[in-house]
Amino acid sequence: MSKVVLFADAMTSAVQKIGEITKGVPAVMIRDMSGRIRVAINETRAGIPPVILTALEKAIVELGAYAAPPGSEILCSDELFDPDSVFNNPDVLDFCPDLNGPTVRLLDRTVVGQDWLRSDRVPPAASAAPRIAFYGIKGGVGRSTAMAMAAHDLAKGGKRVLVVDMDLESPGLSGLLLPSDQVPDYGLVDWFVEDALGQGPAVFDRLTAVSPLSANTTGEIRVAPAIGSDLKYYVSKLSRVYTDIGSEAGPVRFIDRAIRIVQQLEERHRPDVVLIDSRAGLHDLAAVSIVGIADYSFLFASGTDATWQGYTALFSHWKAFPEVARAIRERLCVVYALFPETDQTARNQRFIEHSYSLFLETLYDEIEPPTDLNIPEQDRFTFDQHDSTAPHYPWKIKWSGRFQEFSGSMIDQGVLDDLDITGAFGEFLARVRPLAERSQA
Amino acid sequence: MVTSANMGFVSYETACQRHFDDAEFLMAGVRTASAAQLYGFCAECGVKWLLIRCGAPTGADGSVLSPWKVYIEKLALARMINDIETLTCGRTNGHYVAMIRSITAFVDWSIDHRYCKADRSPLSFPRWRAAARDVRRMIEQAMLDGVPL
Repeated sequence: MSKVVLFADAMTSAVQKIGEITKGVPAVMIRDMSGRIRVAINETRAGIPPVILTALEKAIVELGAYAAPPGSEILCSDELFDPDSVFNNPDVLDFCPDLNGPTVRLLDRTVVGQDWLRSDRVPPAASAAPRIAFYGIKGGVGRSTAMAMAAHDLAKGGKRVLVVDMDLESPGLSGLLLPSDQVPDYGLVDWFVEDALGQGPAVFDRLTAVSPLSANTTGEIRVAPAIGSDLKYYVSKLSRVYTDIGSEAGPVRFIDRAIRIVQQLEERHRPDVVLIDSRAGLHDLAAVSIVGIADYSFLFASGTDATWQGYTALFSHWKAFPEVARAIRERLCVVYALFPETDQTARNQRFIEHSYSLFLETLYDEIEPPTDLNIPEQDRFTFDQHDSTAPHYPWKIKWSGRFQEFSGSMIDQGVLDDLDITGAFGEFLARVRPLAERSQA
Repeated sequence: MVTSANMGFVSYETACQRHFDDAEFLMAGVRTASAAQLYGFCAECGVKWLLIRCGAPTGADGSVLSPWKVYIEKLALARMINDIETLTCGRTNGHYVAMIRSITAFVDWSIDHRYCKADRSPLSFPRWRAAARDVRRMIEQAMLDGVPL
């Protein structure tokens, strides 16, 4: 019986061997939905030296169950019906899972999760309203409450704030910001369902409502909830929103539709800043918010081992795709949520060490990069552990029992006052304000 | 009737590719009427492959079973498309359906066009050709995705 090759070993071997064999060859490694590997070469079969074909086939066959089916291990340009769909596919990325190992061009065909690797985001115009995503690898760390506090603080400063609830699978932001009788007729899920049938405009005008939380401010908080006032059929609608839809130009992915609805809301309501409540965890929806939409992403963390484990999994994924890592890392800000009341100095130091170590091992350029990387010292993306401007350096939100079961009405009714807010959120809000300025985007 | 000789005989994906390639060969020789027929067969095969992926039952020879088996004889490619939309479930299949949105171009394709006079080639064939190309592309995409073919 031949040796069983498991996923990680197959990938390590594939990158090592295929990377070496295809040096100087216009090759794309394709990892299919089961993880099986084949190689496409942008050259006719007759134009490829037989020694390369033989070596490649041997390397792929050695991957065992992770080899493409026999006879399809290597595909040459003259054997593909549509070579452009491989060689000019925007999803093809450099893949370098080991810093000093070879790099291959990879077309990763996945069932879900493709959006975590999106690297073709168009940078926002200087005049565009900054978009800030609130994200947590784990739920229950006060992310939505922090977003409500940020929206309130910015509105007090005269900003027109658009709050978008992209947490379609766990909608609830509107409950914090809108009384039940002021929830708009439709939510984003309605728009996604109707847009797939060309009827987006039929619900667009009834997707938002102004929160009473901004009533006593000089600004405005406008909320686009995930769910509208009619809860009937929500799950039935949600079950349909992620599918690709057909168009003259080919299938349109969910992420592109999500970007489009945010743009349409911005064009209609002209906000100064957009706050996006992201889905937690490694779900595709979170990728849509962080990678596809946001200019800045606040990464909420509570300092538990589970939190660091989750972020390590995500950052390691980005690290293997250097183009993506470079595109995303400047847009991240770590937030130390639920900062405890006791043992603060030691806990803060521990948190910084964890966070720094995570960034250093994954997204920061190493102090001594490999010689072939050749990045001038001044251009390296790296920071001192105690550099408070660094992405890893946490913005603290203090734990406070006063914010248990928070809703916006607690501010209106004076249950929470400025002292409560400043005490828990002061540091965080002070750092959000400059990001909300247009010139920062 | 399925015998040991024709067990697993049918391969819609292979036939889809073959019909397209043959149609292109005929087009190069300006044999438009026959090429137009083959573009329809290419689409039929691609749609039947997708129907099977979406859960349509198959016989031992690999062919899709009734009622879809007879559609092509009843000239109802458009009806098969409706069935795909009825049966489609899951993100991956939704992606493939979205890839062949142009297949509605075959609504005026007919098996009876094989009887047409030499000077009466169907005017729709450029649209059929473009739609068949999308179907052919979908089959290749599925292969690269590692979908069992």
